[in-house]
Amino acid sequence: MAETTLASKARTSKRDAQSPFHVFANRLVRYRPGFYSLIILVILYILAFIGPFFLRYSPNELDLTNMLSGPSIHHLLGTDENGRDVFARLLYGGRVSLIVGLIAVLISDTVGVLLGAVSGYFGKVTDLLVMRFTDALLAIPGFLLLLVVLSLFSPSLTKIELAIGLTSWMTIARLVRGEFLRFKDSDFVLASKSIGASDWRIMFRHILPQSVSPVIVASSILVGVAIILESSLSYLGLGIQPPQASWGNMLTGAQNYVWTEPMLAIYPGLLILITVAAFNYFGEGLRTALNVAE
Amino acid sequence: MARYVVGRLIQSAILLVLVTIIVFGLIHAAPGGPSAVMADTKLPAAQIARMRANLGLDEPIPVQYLKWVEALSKGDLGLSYTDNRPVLSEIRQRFPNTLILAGTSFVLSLIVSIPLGIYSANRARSAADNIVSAMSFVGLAIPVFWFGIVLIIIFSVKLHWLPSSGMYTTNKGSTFPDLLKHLIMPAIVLATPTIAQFTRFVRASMLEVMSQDYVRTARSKGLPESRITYLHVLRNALVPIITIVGLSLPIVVAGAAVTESVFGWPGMGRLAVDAAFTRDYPVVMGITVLVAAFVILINLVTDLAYMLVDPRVRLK
Repeated sequence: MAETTLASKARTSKRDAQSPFHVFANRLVRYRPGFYSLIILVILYILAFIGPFFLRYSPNELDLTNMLSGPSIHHLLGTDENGRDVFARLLYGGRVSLIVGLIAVLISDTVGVLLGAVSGYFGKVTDLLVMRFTDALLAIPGFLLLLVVLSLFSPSLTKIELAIGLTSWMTIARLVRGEFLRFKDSDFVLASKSIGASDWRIMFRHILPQSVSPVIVASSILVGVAIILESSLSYLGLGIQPPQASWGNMLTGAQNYVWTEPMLAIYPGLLILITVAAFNYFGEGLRTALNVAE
Repeated sequence: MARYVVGRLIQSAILLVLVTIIVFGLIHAAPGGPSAVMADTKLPAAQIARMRANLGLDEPIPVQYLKWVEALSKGDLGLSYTDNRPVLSEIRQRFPNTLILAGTSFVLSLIVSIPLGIYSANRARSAADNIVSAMSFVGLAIPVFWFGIVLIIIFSVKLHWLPSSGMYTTNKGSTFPDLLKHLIMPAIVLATPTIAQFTRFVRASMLEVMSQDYVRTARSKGLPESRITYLHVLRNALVPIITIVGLSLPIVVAGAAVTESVFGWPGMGRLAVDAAFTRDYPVVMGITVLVAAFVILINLVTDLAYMLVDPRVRLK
């Protein structure tokens, strides 16, 4: 009797043998805009990181006899005001935007998760201090805060990643704090406490894995925000410095030539738009797949 | 209720003090702050020492902070490094221009997003709703500065309809129609992300109210659909809009900094960007603290407004 129930159980579980990851992947694919966005992102990353190995021109190679030339067989998308190959610069510029977005968000996630976890788990004075600090940072518009930070240093790739990362962790911290408040008195936490697990272990081995979904969803959206921030700063001349290409600073140069060569100003912005929209849609897909409330 | 108001007031004051500490601490404690800039210049050593003493850079950081806050409370934001003018008067000169731009785009955002949000909530999951939702995704993802350049290409370069930069045409005096012509593109650009955000919000808020029992009751007793939408649903759905208005203010300010730079609009945002460029710390600090104070004030006002509109908050 017992054996038959076990056997039938085994059969049913085999029929819908769906690991949590399976369910997640299925739902992710089913939300079409999110799935197509993922494909677009993969293509963009491949183009930016592997594409340049197949290029004929380096992004900073000047061709002074061939300035502002339109698209041709030699220069797929033409050349810019210094005779540099626009296609090559777009790929190299893409490296900057795509990597800055990811690293900045990794930094935000680290700081936000740590502070949110500590604040939510320990509560009391710790919570009060951390949350007041978070609120104060949130009261300063993020872009102004970035201007303050960047006026202190001469910008470089690492400093921009740090600056963006360290000024946009606040939403993550609030999110994680909320999740920790939700779980800290639950039975599984009590159980771990009763067998003598350390605070550190309870926080990061038991509670954090429960609260990781909303962080993942928020991070995907944050990558888009970080890319916009980086390109805005680079456009204003406070971010990535020429001659190194970035989608933002390519527009600075192109703006001076909109009267004669408007297309130069179209490409980089269009790529930013596509990338950021893709991250947003992908985030939306993750939201449905991970079942996170808005 | 009085306790709630007092509590919120104290909270806001604490927040403001924290903001000043953060901004001051960032600039004065970080390597590359004012002291480093002073050491950077190629002036004779004696003159640098005199300047440092004048600016109080020789004193301990906490003393410098207290002096700065004291001056701040009297409305003295110090002198700009670049042209030695009082920071406050520079800001005061630029602020109205930012207000014109931000105000216009804010009104524009509300005028466009509220009807659009209602429209797509009424037709949830229809083709029209999907288009609106896709457009708001684009609106949130579009880089403001690029959108500005695209508009310049279309309306200034190709069509010659609108001026590409500035607030007034030089040598033509400052007339209102001229201002309006210069205002159109920057206002649209600045409004775009807010329109996208508000539209999503209005739609979600409408849909939530529509699922409530009293709406079903209204429908079942045979009220016309338009009456339900505008009298029963919209009025309640608009309450949370107060919050989003407060929360979106920092976004508008940040957007203004970039938009003003694209269109050469002589506002406060562009002043902040230029100051960050030339490491003019008193200007950067002044603008940041003033805007943060403004944000805190707006948040306070929205919370209090909420209390007046929604009795549930009062009772909590």
